[in-house]
Amino acid sequence: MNNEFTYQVSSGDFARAGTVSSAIKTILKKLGVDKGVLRRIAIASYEAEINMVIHSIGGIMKLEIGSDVIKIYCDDKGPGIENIALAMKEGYSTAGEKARQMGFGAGMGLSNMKRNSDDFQITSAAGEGTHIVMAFKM
Amino acid sequence: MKHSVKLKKDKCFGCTVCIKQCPTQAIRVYGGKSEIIDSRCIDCGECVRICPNKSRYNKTDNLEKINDYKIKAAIVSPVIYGQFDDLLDIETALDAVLSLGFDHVFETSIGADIYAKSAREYIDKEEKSGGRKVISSSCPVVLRLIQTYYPDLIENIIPLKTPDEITAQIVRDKLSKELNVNKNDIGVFLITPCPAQLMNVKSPIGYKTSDINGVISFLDVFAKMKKYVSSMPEKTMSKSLSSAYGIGWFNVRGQTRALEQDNHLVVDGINNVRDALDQFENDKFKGLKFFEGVACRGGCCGGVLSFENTYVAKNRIDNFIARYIKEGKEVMDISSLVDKKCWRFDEEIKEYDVNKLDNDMGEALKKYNLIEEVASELPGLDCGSCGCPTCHALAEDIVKGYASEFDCIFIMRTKLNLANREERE
Repeated sequence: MNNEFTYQVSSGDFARAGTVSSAIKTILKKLGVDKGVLRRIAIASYEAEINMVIHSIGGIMKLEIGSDVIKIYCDDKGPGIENIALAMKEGYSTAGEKARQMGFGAGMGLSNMKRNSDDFQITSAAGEGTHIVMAFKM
Repeated sequence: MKHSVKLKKDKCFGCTVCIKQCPTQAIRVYGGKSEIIDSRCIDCGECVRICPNKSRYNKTDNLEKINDYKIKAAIVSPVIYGQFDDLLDIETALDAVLSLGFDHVFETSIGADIYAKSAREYIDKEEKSGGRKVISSSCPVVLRLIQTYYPDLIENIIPLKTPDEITAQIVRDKLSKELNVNKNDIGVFLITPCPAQLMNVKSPIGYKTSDINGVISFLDVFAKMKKYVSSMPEKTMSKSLSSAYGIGWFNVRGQTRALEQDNHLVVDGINNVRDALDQFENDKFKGLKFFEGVACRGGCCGGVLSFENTYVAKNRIDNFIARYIKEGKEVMDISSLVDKKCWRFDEEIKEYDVNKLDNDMGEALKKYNLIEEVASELPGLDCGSCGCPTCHALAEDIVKGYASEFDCIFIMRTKLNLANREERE
C-alpha cells in the first residue's frame, strides 16, 4: 500500500505556492489525523513550501505516513544555506524584493518549522541543495 | 448536520447546477433529483440562491406560530432597513414589524452592541495571554463550516453567543420584568434574511438551548411590511435603541468597525471564507488578531431570504448609519450588560469531522489509495453529468459504494463503443 506522496515545488512560482501544503493537509484530514498534529503539520509544511518557492531553484516535498509518525521531506536542488545557525534565527531572512513585496520573507520560516515539528533535521551547504526532514508524532 | 434546505421534488429535474455551487460538495444528483448529504450541509443556502427552477427553499417558521404566545415579541435584523426603497426612518420599519401582529419589537443590533463590547474585552484578554488569533462567532454558517471542515480552528472561535441570541435573552428578561409576566408566556421571534438561524435555534452551536421561539423568513413578511412602509405613516411608535455601530454590524466589515480592531481580516462570501480559513490553518496571517468571516457576500444584507439587491441594500443602511453618526442617536445603556457570563458559550463546540474516510487510519489510507486509483481512470473534466461535483468526488463515492463507474458518461461511452465494435466483429 502506498504511504508516500511526492510533490514538485517550482522556484518563484507564487501563483501555485501553497498548493503542495494544501494537498498534504487534504490527505491528512481524510486520514483523520488528530487536529492538533494536523495544525502543526499545516503550518510547518506551508512554511517549507514557501521557503522552497522563494529561496531554492526548485525541488520536491514528500509526505510519508507511518503508523505512529508522519514525516515530511523537503529536498531542493540548491543554492543551499551557508550558515544554518544564522538562517534558523528568528527575523533573519535573505528573501529578495519580490518575495517581500508579497508579504513573505519575515525570517520566521525555519524557526516556525522547527517549533511546530517534534523532530527537525536540516542539512545544507552553499552550492548544494537543502534537505529537511520534519517528524510529527501522532 | 441538521439543515433548513428542502426540495420541491416536482420542480427539480436534475440539472446539476446546484452541485457545482455548493461550497462543501454536499449535493449529488443520483436518480434524477438533487439530494443533500446531510452531514456535509452547512446551511449556507447557496443552492437555494442558484437553483434555476427555484426547487430548493429554506424551511422557516410560519407567522401564525406567534399566536401560541400571550406576549408576542419580534427581534429583527437591522438588515431590513435596506430592503425598502421608500423608508424614511428606521422607526417606521420597526412599526411595520408591529403591524404583523407583534406587541413588541427590538433590533438584534442591541445584541450586536453587547457582543462587540464583550468581544473586545475577550480579545484584549487573549492578547495579554499569548495573542491567539480569534474568529468571530457572529455568522452561524461560518461556525458550521469550522465544525465540519476546520475542527482544528474551533479553539480560535470567540466563545460568545450570536447577537441574535443575546438580544432574545435581553428581550425576554426585560419584558418579563416590565410586564410582570412569566418568561414562558413571551414568544420571542426572529425576523431575518438568514436561513441558517433556524437550525442555530433548534440545535445551537456552543450553548444548550436558545431563547428564540421561532425564526421567520424576512421574505415571508416582506409584502405586508412593504405595504405599511409605503403608506408613509406620519407618526412612529417604536424606538430604535442600538448604536449606529450595532446597526452596521451585519454589513460586511461592520464587526471590525464596531470592535475597533486594527489587525483584522474581513472576508465575505462562503467560498472566500473557505479559502481564508485554509490559509488561517497554515498560519499565513501573521499578526492577525480578529477574523470577521461572513457567509453571504456583502454580509447579512446579502442573506438568502432578502429581497433587495445586496449592494443597494447595503448602501441604504450605510446612509442611515451616516445620518445617525452625524445627528447622534439615542442608545440603550448597556454598560451593565457587557461581558456577562450568560452571553458566553456554556458547552464545547462539537466537532463533526466529515473529511475522515475511516476511523482506523490504516483503513483510511487504504481507501485513500483506492480513491486515487479510481480517480485516475476518470476523465478529470469535472463536468458534473454523473451527478457529482467533481471526478474526484465521484471516485470517493464509488469507493464508498454510493455510485458506480458507469455513472460517468465518458466511461459509459467507451464501454458502449467497445460493445458495438465487438458486436460488429
